[in-house]
Amino acid sequence: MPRELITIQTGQCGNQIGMEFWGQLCAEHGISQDGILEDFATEGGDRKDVFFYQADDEHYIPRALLLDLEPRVINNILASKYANLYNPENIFLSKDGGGAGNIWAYGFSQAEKVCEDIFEMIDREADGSDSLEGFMLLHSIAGGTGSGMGSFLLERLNERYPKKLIQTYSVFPNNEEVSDVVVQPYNSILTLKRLTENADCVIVLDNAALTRIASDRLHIQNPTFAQTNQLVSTVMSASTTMLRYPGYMNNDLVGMIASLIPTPKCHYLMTAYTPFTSDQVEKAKSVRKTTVLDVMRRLLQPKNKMVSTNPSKKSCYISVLNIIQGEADPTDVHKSLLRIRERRLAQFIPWGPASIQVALTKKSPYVQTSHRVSGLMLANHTSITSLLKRTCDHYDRFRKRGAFLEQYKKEDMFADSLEEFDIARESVQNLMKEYEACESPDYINYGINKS
Amino acid sequence: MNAANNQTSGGNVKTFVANEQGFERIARTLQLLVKHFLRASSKPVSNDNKRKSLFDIEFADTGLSTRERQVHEYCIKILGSRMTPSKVNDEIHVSDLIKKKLIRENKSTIQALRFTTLFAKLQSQSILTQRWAILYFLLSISDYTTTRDTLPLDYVFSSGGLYEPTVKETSEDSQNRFMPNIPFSSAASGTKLKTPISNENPPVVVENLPPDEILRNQSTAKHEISEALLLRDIVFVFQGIDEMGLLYGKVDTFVKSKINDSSIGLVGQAFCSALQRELTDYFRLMAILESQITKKIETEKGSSKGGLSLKRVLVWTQDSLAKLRIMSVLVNHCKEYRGGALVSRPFYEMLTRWIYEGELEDPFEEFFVKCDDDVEEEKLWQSKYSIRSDMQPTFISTTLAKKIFSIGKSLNFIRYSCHDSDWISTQNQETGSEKLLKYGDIIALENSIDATYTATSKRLLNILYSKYKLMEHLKALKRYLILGQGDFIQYLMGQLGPGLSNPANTLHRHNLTGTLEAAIRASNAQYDDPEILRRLDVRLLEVSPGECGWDVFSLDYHVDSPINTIFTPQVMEEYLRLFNFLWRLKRVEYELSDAWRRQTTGARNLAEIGELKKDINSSRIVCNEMIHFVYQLQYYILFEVIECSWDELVTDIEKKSGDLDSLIEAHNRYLNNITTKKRVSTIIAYILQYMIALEELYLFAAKEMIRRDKLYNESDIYEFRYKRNNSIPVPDNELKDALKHLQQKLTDISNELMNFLTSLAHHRDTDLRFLSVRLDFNEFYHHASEKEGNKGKRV
Repeated sequence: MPRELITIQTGQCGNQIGMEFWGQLCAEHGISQDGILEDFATEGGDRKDVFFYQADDEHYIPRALLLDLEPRVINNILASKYANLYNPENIFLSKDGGGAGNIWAYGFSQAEKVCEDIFEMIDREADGSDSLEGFMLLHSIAGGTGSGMGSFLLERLNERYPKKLIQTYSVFPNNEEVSDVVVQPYNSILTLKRLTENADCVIVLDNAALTRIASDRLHIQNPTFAQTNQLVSTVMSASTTMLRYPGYMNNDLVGMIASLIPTPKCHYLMTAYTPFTSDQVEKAKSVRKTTVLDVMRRLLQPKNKMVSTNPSKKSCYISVLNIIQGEADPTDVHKSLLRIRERRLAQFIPWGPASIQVALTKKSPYVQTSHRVSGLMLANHTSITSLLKRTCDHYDRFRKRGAFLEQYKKEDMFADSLEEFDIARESVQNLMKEYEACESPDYINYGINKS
Repeated sequence: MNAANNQTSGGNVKTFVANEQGFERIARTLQLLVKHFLRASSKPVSNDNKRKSLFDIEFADTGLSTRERQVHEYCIKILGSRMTPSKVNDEIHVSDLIKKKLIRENKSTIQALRFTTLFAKLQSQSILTQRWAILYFLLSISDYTTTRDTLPLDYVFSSGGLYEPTVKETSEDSQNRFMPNIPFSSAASGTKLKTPISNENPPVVVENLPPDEILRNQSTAKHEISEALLLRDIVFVFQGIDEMGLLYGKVDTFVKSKINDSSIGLVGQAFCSALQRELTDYFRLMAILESQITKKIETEKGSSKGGLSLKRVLVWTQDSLAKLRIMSVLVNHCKEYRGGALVSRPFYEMLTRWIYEGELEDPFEEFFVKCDDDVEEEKLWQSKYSIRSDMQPTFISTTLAKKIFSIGKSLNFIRYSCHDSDWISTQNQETGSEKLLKYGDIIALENSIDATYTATSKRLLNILYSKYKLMEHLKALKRYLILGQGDFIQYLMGQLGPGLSNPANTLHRHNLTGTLEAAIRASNAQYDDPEILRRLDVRLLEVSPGECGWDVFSLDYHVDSPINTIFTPQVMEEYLRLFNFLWRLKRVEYELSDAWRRQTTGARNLAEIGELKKDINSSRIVCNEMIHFVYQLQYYILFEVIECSWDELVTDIEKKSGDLDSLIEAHNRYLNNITTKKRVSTIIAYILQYMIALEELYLFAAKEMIRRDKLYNESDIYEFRYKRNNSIPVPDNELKDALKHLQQKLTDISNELMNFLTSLAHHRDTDLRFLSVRLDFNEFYHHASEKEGNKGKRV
């Protein structure tokens, strides 16, 4: 009963980070590019069946669906060294191959049209699992396919699998740069509504922060998408180690996120990872001493967070989970926590007990790293509102001008009215409100004055 | 059986056959042997034998049964046989054959184990040189006793051996020459009975005659000697000839040469005079015997009953023989010693035997190590041996005494519990030259003992670690009974959880073991050593009325000898208690996760109900509080208590110093650490408090879910979802009751938790104090108690 997770990767970004993710998992489990267990991979102790299943010929096959409306990225994958890893039946490419043109509405309606084909794949994978824990959606919220098709899938998964968890790894666009996707604020708001209402846990990966980390921390000028995607895959693999290397605690997704998400709506988690070294990203130059205290302290520093936020004075942690990999001594963890508490390096909610949870996990014996200890932080922090607010501000400016709406009106959902935009905007507004309410002791009474 | 008979049997047989005296000795000892073994079932044979042969004399007088006679005859036959044994002249090989045979015939290993022990003792006897022959002889006769009932005995008498040496080379026999036991097979006996045995043989018609008759027929040829004459000779023999005479001579010479020699010192003189006293006793016996003989000659014409016989002489002289032997050994060893060295001689002998072989040869309880033979092997290490401190010589310090004690105990543990006697014998041979402990050189003694102590302890620990996989067992206990194997526990919890809420008496062990096996297959436990998994089991603790499955279910791990010396029943009980505690804690986590999943996925699908919004929200927050508590508590126990204690244990083990006792101590310390720091009684009580309240919460939530599900199904999905601000009427009274109760429970829990935190914060143990820091990391409880005093913090 491995509590399987089915990964659904949609759009250009989703498939790119997915490819990196599977490459990383294969390396960590000693699985070859063709899905065959390497001869050296005999140490055991790991669980491959959460993310892979074995075909009749013993090949390991990812429980992954590769979905896109245009063929470029998936064709790249199929031309890569990992071409034989995936189940070809799990690859969906739109017949016309024209893509979503970066329009959420088009991605959404296209997905609706091919809904049956996609759900046939999903159902097949779900039926092939002993005790499906849930789904992982990999996508970006800015483009057309990842956001539109992703949103559609989130809604449908809710109806089809009401009791399964839905987790997403969502890449947020870099708002600080001029994007070639002018309509990304529209796409983002429409997707955020689904992320808020139809997902249980959203891991926010902010492209702005990823670029910043690549250049500041790793001294890579103008990092490529491939390089930032490697950062993402590192985070993804680290955040799933507990599921893949069973230990005392947190052996399933629920166990991991239950303590992070006290109330269902506030389920946007930010991440931090340290240390990034050349092991993860080619050409990176940073190598430093790592102790548990170093790792735990650095994880709290904004510069290591993979989300660019502007915390206010009232911003606080709702919850923190530090996943420490490698040779960590529990007594070091103990000392580090005392130090962090003394120095008040982290501020917590005032309406309930909260602390830095620590999970000590194994490291893959097959992947050599130059550091002794590494750490991933998953945190639910109220400052996520600043990221949401930036997106809303962008959106509001566009919406006021009524710019670039023609493409959306072509689709049924927006043909008669643009109400869906307003509903989505309100949903995000409510989310921000709730996060702000979390900063006050009165949160326990939240909702009493509302309806 | 003892030295006397063994010495003369086997390879030397033929020479003795030719020699009448030797012949007689074989017959005598054999008879003793036969009697000894068949004593239980023997029935006296009638004494009506008129014709006496050399052997008949003894039969008649001692009342041997027919069976005994047959057996005896057979033995004689084997000894007299000139056939070359088919087996290799190798005592280990023969001992293996015997072991196999014992196992085959008894269908158990008890006899074989006993034999192994006896064999080990035999091997350690240096007097005996013909061990192979002895064993082979025993093996051969054993074939007779097992097949006796079904085979015609006639053949025994008709073929070869002592009586008819000429028969040897007949065709059938040459076929069988390499298998002395074959003549009893049906093929051989079948043909034999119908064909004349050999031409030279007088017309012996063996088929229809009873054994006795045949025997008589055959013994007619032998000449007879008057018993009285023999007896008289024997008395003289005792004083100079034969073993007894030889021994006597030796002792006598020693005493005579030393008694007036002042150089042997006072101790020596005392020793000599003691010997002299014994010799006087011996003469007394001789005198009595002589007078009996005289009597016997006088009454020669009467029956032999009541008078002296060879048999009786033998019996009467047994004691003296034993004494003479001891004295002879003493004399041999004491020739060169005087004073303290002489006094300590027996002590050093005992010490040497103890520390190199683990044998206690201490008939008068003088050694400072005592053995309690009643203690079964299971408890060999703990209680079979003890130190008699009043017997401990002053020149041996307590530390040294403990080491000596430990060495011998370890040797016995290795031999009997670990079944590894090979090492002891090889070790013995290796150290053979230097193993003589010298009197007076206490430093050398200490060094020698230290070296042996280190070597023995190391060997013992090595056997436990390698052959008995001690480390693997420790890890397995940690993985399964201390829940380290997360995926396995998760599966078990998922499958068993719902059923364990039922009354305990509805549980069936076979269902549970089925689930256990499924859990192994479904998790990484499947890759574990089958030897480990075999030991994993389910245990249902004793059921008291009203208990549910959770109270009685436990995993179990079977341990056997010798590792149960470390994992004693008490230790295992501790492990089970630990499992029970962690299992309950895990259950709480499991239930909380479940509740969280329901709340979260539920919230995703359903529009919020206005009136319930606040209560639902606060119940989630309470759930979160419990999750926080349980996770922190688990982290503390699993990582800070168990992992840290485990690290200590592993460090202790890796040192590989000390003996089994220090290992047991380290392991007990490990368990004790965990047990005290987990503070079972208090925390369990709080957890259960939580559970009760949580179930209230479920009950309420479940009801509400059903109601909401119904509403959800009745309305159009899409419309329902987009009706954002609608207010769905809630059944007022029901809700109020449920909420009221829930609120009450929550207040209780809050108070309990506060008390718990306060008690932790002021606890002596720093680790427990730190737990309170973790539980209140953001000082939420601290502020709450400051603000609201001791009143419930929520309303």
